Amino acid sequence: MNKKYTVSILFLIAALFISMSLDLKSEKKVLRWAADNEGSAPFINQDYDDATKLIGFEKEIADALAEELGWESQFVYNSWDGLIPGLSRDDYDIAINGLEITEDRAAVVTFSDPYFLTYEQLVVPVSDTSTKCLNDVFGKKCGTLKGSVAERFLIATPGAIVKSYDNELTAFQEMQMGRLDAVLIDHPIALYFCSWNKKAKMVGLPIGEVSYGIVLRKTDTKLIADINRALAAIVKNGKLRIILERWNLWNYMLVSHFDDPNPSSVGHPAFKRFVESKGGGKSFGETVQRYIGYLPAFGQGAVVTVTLSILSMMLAIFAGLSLALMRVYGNRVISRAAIIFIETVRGTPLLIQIMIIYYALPMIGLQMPAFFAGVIGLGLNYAAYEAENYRAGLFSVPRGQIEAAMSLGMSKFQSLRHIILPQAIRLVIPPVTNDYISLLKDSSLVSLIAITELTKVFLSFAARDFDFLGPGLMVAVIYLLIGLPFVKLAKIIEKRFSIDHRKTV
Amino acid sequence: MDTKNFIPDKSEVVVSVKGINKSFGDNHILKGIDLDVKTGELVSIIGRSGCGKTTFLRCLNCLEIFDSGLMRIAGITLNKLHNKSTNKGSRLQSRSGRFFKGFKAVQNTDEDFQKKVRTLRVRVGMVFQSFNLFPHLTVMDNLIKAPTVVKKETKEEARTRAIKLLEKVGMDEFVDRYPHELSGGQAQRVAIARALSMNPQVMLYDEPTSALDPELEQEVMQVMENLNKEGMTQIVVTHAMHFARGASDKVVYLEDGKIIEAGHPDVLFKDPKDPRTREFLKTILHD
Ligand SMILES: Nc1ncnc2c1ncn2[C@@H]1O[C@H](COP(=O)(O)OP(=O)(O)O)[C@@H](O)[C@H]1O
Ligand SMILES: [Mg+2]
Repeated sequence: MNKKYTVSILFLIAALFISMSLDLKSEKKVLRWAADNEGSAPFINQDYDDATKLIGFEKEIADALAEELGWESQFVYNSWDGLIPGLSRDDYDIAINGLEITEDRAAVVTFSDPYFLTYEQLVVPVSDTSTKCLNDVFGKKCGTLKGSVAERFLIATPGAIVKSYDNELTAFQEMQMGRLDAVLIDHPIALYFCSWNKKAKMVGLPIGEVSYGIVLRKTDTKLIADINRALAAIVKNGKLRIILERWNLWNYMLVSHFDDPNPSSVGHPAFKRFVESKGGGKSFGETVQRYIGYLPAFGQGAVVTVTLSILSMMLAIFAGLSLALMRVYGNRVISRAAIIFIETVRGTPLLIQIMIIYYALPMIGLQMPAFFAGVIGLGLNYAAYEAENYRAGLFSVPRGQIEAAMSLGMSKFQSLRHIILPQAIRLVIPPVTNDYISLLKDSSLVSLIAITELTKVFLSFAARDFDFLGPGLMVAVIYLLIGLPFVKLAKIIEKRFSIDHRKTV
Repeated sequence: MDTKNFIPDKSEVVVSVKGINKSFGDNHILKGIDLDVKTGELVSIIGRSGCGKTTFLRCLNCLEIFDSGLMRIAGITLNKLHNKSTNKGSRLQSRSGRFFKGFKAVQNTDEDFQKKVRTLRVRVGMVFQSFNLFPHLTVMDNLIKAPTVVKKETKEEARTRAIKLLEKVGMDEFVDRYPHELSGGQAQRVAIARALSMNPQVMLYDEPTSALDPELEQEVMQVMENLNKEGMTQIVVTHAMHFARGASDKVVYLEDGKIIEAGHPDVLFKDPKDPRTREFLKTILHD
């Protein structure tokens, strides 16, 4: 028994450390900037050779701004949809991730001066020779990103049948499968996609004008001044232009906006490296090489998934037992409270619960690191199910048992602790072990709240390399492998306890 | 009834019960039971099924709390004068189902009363018709659990005594067995040893042999007879008339929640005074 307690305490300490390191605030001033590395190039991605490193023109800009300010640059991951809501959690101070400056957004956050200007680009299949500009999409199905400037252009285009997607990858795939005739999207995305995908091409002239800005909390009036000052500085000293040139993103709009017509000689090394990384990996050997390159990041993701699921399960078992005892033995009020909790949790989606814990609780002053939010969300959700397991277990211990215990002078609590619970727990071990395996799988949902676990790692590789098949199979196998010991364990336990200990009793 | 002057008849009276009443809802089960048991006596309680024998026994160690009356058992006095709070108990019982009946009844009485109840239970051992051994514990652990948990005895102390008790019931070779590995007779003998492990002054048995095959009955009865010789006070609810007649110091005939007749077995079986006793004995002995 003591050993078990020690182990669980060690786990909790480990979890504390992990969460603290996520929340680390050092002495030196830090520029905490957020982005989603799950998008496609050239914004922010894992490095092609070393998946634990990040690359992308926005990363370089963030670093350059930090350097200009003399601060430390610190990346904070968040999903793209969560970038603006996440500002209020105070996990980061700015977000820089292709956020177009729009009035809707400007109503809730402050935008910096634009750091990049671009336009919308029409992309069509190579086989399509008739579509030459936006006017040609009459009666055709056009895909774009939900809520983007391009979507508004399409809606305003006569005859275009608009289809909106959550990410560009899906839109491009739909086009490749022939379900879309064209895609209208920000030029950088189009440029990078068409650079390696020989089945798609860019057509037509630049459409419209889009500017990307850095977002901040409306209250950070001091920081916005600092950011704009640093931005102006890197424009002036040419750093911004060099970054954009290296990524092949310097365009005529920027020339006039920043009033910087001087051509430079850096070329497009970052862009070329991207194209090479795509050009390679076509042969079997290179593909295998690329897949092997995924392994370290998958390993890290697996460790997070396993730690997260074990901690959540421990919470679920403990809280579930407490809930079951409250429900069965508590007075009317306590019992009702337990029932309401259990039924609410079982009746609402886990995803919503996690979102509420991560985004809504901070609004009432309950702030916690993503990892903790994940453990608590998963743990409390499963606690409700475990509570019902325990309750069934408690009720299946015959009444004669508690009478025998009490007739020997044991108190209610002692009878529970020494006679009823040990028997109930034996009965519920097999279902609990099975539940752990479901929890392991459900833990993939926390990839949505800024925890880099297995599913998150998979999604970012899939997005970076436009490859769902390889990473998909790999991540499936990893889930199977880490679940396997527990499947085995469940079988062993089930066998062991199926001997009926109460036959003649 | 004059409760203030309630004093046991003699110093050797270890169980003294006066005017015990017990109802389940509108169902009046025990209707004013008076009974005295002296130290070392073996008292058999007989009667038709449903007449309240089990309920009476359960009242004696407070697995049910009587509604009114007086009990003085092994130095503990409990009295209740038409206390209505137990009715509340019964309502809660039905709410939480079969399992927690005993619980809630106790829960709804005050703390002092509960303390007394627990002391009483330590001093009164109970043996059930269905043994109720703890299936997850070995024979040895069944015996030492309560002494170590309730009396805070060390495991060594409790084990030493447990071995002696198991020897007494002839089960000392089975210390490491689990209950499901025992025959009915063996299980019941372990259950007796377990009840004895708390050093009770009184032992209660609710039909201890009726779940057993006839050839196994005897080994359990033998244990009770041996305990009788050692001076243990025992109250046995039984359907085994030969045991009631041959082994008891006193037999009590219960009908419809009332004691109809009580006396020495020779007298009660040979020459019952009450026609109802006669009727009962006729049906049961001529079956
Ligand atoms: N917990 C209970 N709730 C309601 N009625 C009960 C309960 N326990 C016993 N009774 C009733 O009390 C009567 C006497 O039962 P019992 O004492 O078990 O009889 P005996 O042991 O003599 O066969 C029976 O009619 C039974 O249905
Ligand atoms: Mg009975």
